[in-house]
This record gives sequence, C-alpha cells and structure tokens, in this order.
Amino acid sequence: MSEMPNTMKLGMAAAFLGAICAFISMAMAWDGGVDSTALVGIDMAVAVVFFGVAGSFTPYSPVKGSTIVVLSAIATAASIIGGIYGALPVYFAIILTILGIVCVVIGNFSSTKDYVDANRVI
Amino acid sequence: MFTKVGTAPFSLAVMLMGALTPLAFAIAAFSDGYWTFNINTLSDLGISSDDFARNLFTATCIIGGACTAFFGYGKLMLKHGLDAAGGFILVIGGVFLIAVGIFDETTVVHNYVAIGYFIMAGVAMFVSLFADYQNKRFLTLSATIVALCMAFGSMPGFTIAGVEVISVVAICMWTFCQGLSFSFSKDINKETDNGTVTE
Repeated sequence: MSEMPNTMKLGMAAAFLGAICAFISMAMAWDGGVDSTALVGIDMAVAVVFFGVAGSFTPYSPVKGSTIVVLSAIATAASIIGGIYGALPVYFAIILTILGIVCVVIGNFSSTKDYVDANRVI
Repeated sequence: MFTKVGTAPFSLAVMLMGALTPLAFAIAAFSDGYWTFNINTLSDLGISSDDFARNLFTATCIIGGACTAFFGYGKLMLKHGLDAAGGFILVIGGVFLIAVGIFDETTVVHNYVAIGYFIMAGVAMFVSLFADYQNKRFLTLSATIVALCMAFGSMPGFTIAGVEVISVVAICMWTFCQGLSFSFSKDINKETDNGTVTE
C-alpha cells in the first residue's frame, strides 16, 4: 500500500471537524421538547454525512475517488439546508459550508482520487 | 462553421447575472418594505407600490434573462453533445425570464412564463449534471448537486413563495458556477488559422 497523501489527511480532518460542529449544533438544538426533534434530526443528518465523507478519506474507503466529491457536495448542501431551516446557527452553517467546499476541492485533487481508487476495499 | 469567438463574453455575462440578480432582488425587497420571505413571491415585487422596487425587479428579470439566453447561445455554439443541449434549454429559459419581467402578475401570461422558466432551469440543471459527469467535471457537478439539493430540500418546510426564492438563489449560484466552468473550458471546437471555427 502506497503512503497516504497529505490531501487525504487534510480532507479527513476537515470532514471530522464538520461532523463535530454538526454534533455540537445538534446538542444546542435540543431543548427537551418534542418540537425540537425535527431540528435535531436535520443536524444529525448533517453530522452523519460529514462522518461519511471523513470515512471516505481513508485507505478503506468504500467509494470511488470521484464519489467523494459527490458526497462532499451533498454534505455542503445539507449544511446550507440546515442553515435555511434554522437547524444550524448561522455561524455553524457558514463554517460547515466552507468545510464542505474544502472537502469538495480536496476530493477533486488527482492525488486523492488516485490513492482512493488504488487502495479502496470494494 | 462559425466566426471565431472565445468563451469570455458569455461567461462574464452569466457570472454577472448569477452574482448580481440575488443582490438586486434583495435591494428591491428592502426597498418595497412590505415584502416578506415565505409569504410573498418574488413576482410580487413586479407590482410593488414602490416604483424603485418595481423597476429594479423588472430590469433585473429582463437583463438577467438576456444574459442567461446569451450564455446559452454561447454554449450552444461552442460546445457539443449534452453541453449544447443544455445551452439550448438555457436560451429558452432566458427568454422565459425576460417574459417574467415584461408580463407582471396582473397579466394571465405571467404564471405560465414563470413556471416555464423554473422548468427550463431545472431541466438545464439535470442535463448539465449528466454532461458534467460524462466529461468528468466534478467541481461543476458538485455545484449542480448543491443547487438541486437546495431547491428540492427546501420544499417540505416552506411555502411555494419561500421555495421560489431559495430556488432562484440556487439557480443564480449554479449559473455563476457554470459561467466559471465555461470560462476555463478547453474542449471547445477546433479553431482554424483563418479565424473560423469548425466542428
């Protein structure tokens, strides 16, 4: 197995940071009432997608290199939708959107794509 | 056989449209004062009691539509396959957007041309999705995915007026990215030495 390129590590770090931010906003959205569950659900979906992107930036990636870009785009879209619905605070929505775009750009690097395509398990 | 042209004028037109249209609509909404998100449609600005808001909305629709149609024409002339098909759909969409500006909400035609614009923009997005995937342009593909997710993701939680505003912002963002991608595209038709372009 070839050495993991730094772009992979950077992408994984950005995606994990995004997932942690989404988890924090999920905790912030919960107010003990049933009405807040919809917002908590949206935040949870954002966190799950970011964790999925982070998992794709590993040697055991279950997806193709180009699919990482698509997954990152979905994470970005989920962040924007979370912001629109008010599930994410505005500053978290902006941070998560930027992190999503960073993941899209990193996923588009040829070094990332080549590494994932050469080493992925499926 | 076409006259030799570059991608720059078409890209610039649509990038200006993508960047300035949401700004112009926001200024018109603030100028109107009574316009409320998720209650009023953007077309309500076209019959606003405030002259500045009404004129700004009308001018933005007409200029934005012209820019979209111009970009679509450029794509149709300089690209081929699915890209050219997307360009043709954008030309029709641009004409519909011009019509939205010309026919205000008090006319019968307005709703038809407004719906036509959104359908054409949606179809152009899906065509672009396949074209970008085919040509491995993953950055543009991701912008299209984000725009489509924004438009469809807003449907469960907002009224048709709110979805319209979010969709327009998504379409503007998408057209900006399309213009950016088009300006850097290399796969235009081969140029000959005598200044003409052939297939």
